[in-house]
Amino acid sequence: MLNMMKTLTACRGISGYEKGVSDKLLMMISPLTDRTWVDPMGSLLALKKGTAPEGERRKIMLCAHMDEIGFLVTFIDDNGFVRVTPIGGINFIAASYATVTFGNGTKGVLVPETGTAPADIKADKVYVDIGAKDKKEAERKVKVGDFCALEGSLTRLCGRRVAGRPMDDRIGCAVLVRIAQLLGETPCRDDVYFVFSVQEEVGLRGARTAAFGISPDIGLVYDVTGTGDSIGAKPMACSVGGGAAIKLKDSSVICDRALAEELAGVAKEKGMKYQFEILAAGGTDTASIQMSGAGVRVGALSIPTRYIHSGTEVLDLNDAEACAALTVAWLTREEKSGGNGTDAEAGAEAE
Amino acid sequence: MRMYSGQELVRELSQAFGPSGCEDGVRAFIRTQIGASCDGMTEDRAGNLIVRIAGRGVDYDPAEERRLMVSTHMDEVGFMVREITDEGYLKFSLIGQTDPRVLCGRHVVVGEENRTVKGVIATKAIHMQTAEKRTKATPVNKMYIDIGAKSAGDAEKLVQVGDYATFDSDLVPFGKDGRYIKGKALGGRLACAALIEVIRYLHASSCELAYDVYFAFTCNREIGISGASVAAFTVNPTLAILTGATAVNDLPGVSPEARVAALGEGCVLSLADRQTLYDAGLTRFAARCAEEGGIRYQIKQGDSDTSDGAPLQRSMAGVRTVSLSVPVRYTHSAACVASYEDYQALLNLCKAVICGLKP
Repeated sequence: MLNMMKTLTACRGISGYEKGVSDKLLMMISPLTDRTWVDPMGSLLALKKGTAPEGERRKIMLCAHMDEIGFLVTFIDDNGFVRVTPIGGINFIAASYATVTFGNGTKGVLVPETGTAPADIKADKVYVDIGAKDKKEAERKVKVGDFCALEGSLTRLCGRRVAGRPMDDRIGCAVLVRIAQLLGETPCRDDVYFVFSVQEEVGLRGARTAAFGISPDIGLVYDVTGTGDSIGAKPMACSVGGGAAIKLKDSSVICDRALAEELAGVAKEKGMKYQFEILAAGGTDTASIQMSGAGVRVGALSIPTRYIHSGTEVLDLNDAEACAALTVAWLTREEKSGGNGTDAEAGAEAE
Repeated sequence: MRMYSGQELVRELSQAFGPSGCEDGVRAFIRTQIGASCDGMTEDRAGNLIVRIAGRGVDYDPAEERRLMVSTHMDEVGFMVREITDEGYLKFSLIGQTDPRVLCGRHVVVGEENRTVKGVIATKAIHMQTAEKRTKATPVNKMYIDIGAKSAGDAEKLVQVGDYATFDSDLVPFGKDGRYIKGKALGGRLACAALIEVIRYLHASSCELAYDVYFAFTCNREIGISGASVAAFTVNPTLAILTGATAVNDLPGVSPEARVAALGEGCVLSLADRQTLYDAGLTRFAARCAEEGGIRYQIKQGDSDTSDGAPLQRSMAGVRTVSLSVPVRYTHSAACVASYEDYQALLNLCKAVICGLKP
C-alpha cells in the first residue's frame, strides 16, 4: 500500500487532465482484471468477472476518483508571472507559498500579491512565479490552458500513518487496486467493476456517466472523509486509525441504510475495525452514482483523513487496508438466503 | 422564401423573435434556410431541430455508428407579460438572465410570431425622480411595457397575459468598414447562422466525413433547461461540438488578465466554465485545425460563465465535448456587439474540425 501510494502521489492529474494518473493505474489494474477501457469522459474502468453462471451475477461498481484539485493557467503577464484559476475547492491560504508542478514538469511557486491581507488571499490575488525573466521565457515553459497542482509528496509518520498529497483520492485508488489483488486470491461470484473516475473535485461528474454506462446493482465509493480528532475540529465520531468508515451520509448523499448495516454486520462478524461516518460538509461520487440511470443502491467506505485539501493530508494506511479487507469479506461472504437476499431485505425495510 | 447568406443571414436570425419556450419562428426560419441541403431533418419532443449530414469517404464505416453532434441554441432572453393594468400597461417577468439596468427605455415587440405589437419599456423622466431614486436600479417588478393602449380593454385586443416579448433591435454594422455588428440575441443566433452555412457547405462539397454529423438547434438554453442534453439523448453522439457566444470583458479599466477574450481576435476555445471541463484532447485538436487552416483563435481566460456544455457532456455515459464560440460584448442586452470576422472564424473552424475528425 505504501509503495502504491508513493507511485500514485508522484503523478499530477487535476480534474479534466487525469491522463497521467490513468496511465499509471492502467498498468496496476489491468493484470488483475479481465478487461479495461476508458469512457468518453476519461474515467478508467476495469472488469473482473465473477464466478457465478451468466445471469446470476450482480454488477458491483467500486469507485474512487483519480483527479486532484489544482489550477489552470489563464494568463501570462509581460513579466512572466502566471495567473491561474482554481479547479476544485482550493484553500488559497493553505496553498500560498507552496511549490506547484505543471503537467510538463515545470516547477513554480504560488504566491499572493505583495501586501495582500491573509483574509483577502483569493484566486485573483495570487500568481505563480516560475522564475522566468519575462513573458517570452515563461511562454517557452508554460502556456495558457496548461494545468498545475501543488507538488505531490508522501512522508511516513508514526506507525503506519502518512502525510502528503494528494491523499484525496489516490488512497481510494490504491484501495481499489488492493481489492483487485485480494480478489485474485479469493474470487467472488459477482462481476466487479473498478471505476477510477474523473472530475470528482469539480462536481462529482465522471462517476455519473461511468455509472450510466455500467448500470450497476450496487455502487461503493472509496474516498477520504473528515474526522473529529484534530485540534479545533467540529465534533465528529470518526477518527484516524479507527478503521474503515462506513458512510451513512455526507452533504451530497444519504446512503442505502440496509447496505451500510450489511457492511457493518460483516465487519462485526469478522472482527474488523469499523466506524460509522456522518460527514457534515463535503460530497462524494456516491451521490452521482445513486442518481444515475434509474437509481442505484449505494454505500461508501471512507478513509478518515485530517487536513483534507491542504498540502499535507494525514491518514493511517491501516484504515485503508481495513476498507479493502472489509470489501473483499463482503463480496465473498456466503449468502445465507441466496443471491437476491439483500434486495429482499431492503424491500422489507422499505415497507 | 428567400435564401439568405453572409451578414444578411446573421441579420435575419438576430432579428427573429424567439425567447426560450417560443422558438417556433426561429426553427421554421432555419428549416427553410437549410431546405434540401441535408440528408434528413427531424424535430424531437423538446422542440430541438436536428439536421443530419451523412458520413462518407474511406474512414466512414456505417457499422461503427460514429456520430458527431454540433449544437447551438435557438432561444434568446426576453420577457413574458404577467399582468395587464387597468390603464393598459403590461407588467412583465424576465425570461432568462438580463440586467434590469439595461431595460429602461428600450423598444420591445410583444406577442407571438406573426402577431406582434411594438412597445417601449417605460421609464420615469429624470426630472420626476428623487435624488435617491436616481442612484438606484428600478427592479423589474416596478417596470412596465407601454404599447400605446388607453385601457385594459384596449390592450387586451392586442396582447394577452402569457405573451412573450423581446427587444426590438435591428442588426447594424458599425466601426471601420463595418467590422463590428450590433444587435440582439447575438449568442446562439450567430452560431445558428454559422451552422446553417456549414450545413450548406458540407452538403455541396465532397469532403470526407468519418462521422455522421448531426446539427442540433436547441431550445430553452437561456432558462437553464438544456435542450442540448435532450438532443444528446436523441442523437446519442460519440463526440460533440458546442457552439455559441462567450461573454467578453475587453473593456476600459479591466486589467488584461480579467478580460476573458477579445473581439476581433478570432474564435474562442473554452477550456472550462463554471460547470464544465471540456475535453482536453478535442480542444487541442481544434487548436491544431485552426493553426493548420490559418484560422484565428484564442483561448478563453477565466471560467466564470455557464453553458450547455455541462448537461451535454454528462448525458448518458458521457460525451467528449469541445466548445467553439464567438466573443460577444454586452450579451443579453438589446445591443450585443460582435465582430463579423470572429463569426467567420467560428464558421471556418467548425468546417475544419468536422471535416478533420478521424475515427
